[in-house]
Amino acid sequence: MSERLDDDERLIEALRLTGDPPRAWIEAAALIPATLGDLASIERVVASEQFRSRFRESPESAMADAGLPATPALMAALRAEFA
Amino acid sequence: MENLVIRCRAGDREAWAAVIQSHAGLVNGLLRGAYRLSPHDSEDAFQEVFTRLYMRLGDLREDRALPGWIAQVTRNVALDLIRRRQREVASGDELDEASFDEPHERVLDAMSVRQALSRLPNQQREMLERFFVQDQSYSTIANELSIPAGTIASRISRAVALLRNEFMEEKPASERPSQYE
Repeated sequence: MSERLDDDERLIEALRLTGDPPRAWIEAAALIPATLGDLASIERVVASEQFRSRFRESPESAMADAGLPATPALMAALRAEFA
Repeated sequence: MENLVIRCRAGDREAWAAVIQSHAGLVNGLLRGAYRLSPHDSEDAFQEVFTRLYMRLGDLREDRALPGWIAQVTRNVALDLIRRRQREVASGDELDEASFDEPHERVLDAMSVRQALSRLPNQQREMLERFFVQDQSYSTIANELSIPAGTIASRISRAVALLRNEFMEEKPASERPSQYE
């Protein structure tokens, strides 16, 4: 229970933030495991020093060599991971 | 939620879909409502948040850690995106990163409200969702629900009172107001 929500203004502001995104976004996110493959493989690749240094030199080639799909979301996630 | 994290780690696609479904509103609320990203940037950021979540499932132990973790990652993804956009337009503006922390509290409130909303009768819930979430006008709501436009304001007000009641009911009677309207 949030004490802050006793206040109508705060309650309505919170209410405005509860909307779901377009259905297509949710459906695309649901496909992430199918696109990226099983978790253990991803974790192995991400933990590999060789992959990290390859990725820093040439992200697309590193992804291709590792058999990872070069989706914008995965590229951005890996850049953040290795920053 | 029942051990969704563990089920996701084991490759259960239904559990993954449930995680997305139950946090999509949180992520969208932060990206669009709190950080004011464009629809296009929000869509990219939305996919990146859940991609990062998938990659980091091994770090999570309990379902209850999910909302906080997802909110934090959403903040970081939004910040990265805004920095990138600033570099693209060669903006010299300083980014006020501290202002990105405040929405967390708002989103926790939003999650509580979302749960409370689901407990309301359909009619009241629909009224609140149409007006506050989907930003529909009185006339649109009146037309689509076939009710007089003149009654919309009072219906919304009653629905807000009901929603507020959901929170008040968790308080001791001595702390509740005698009338909610």
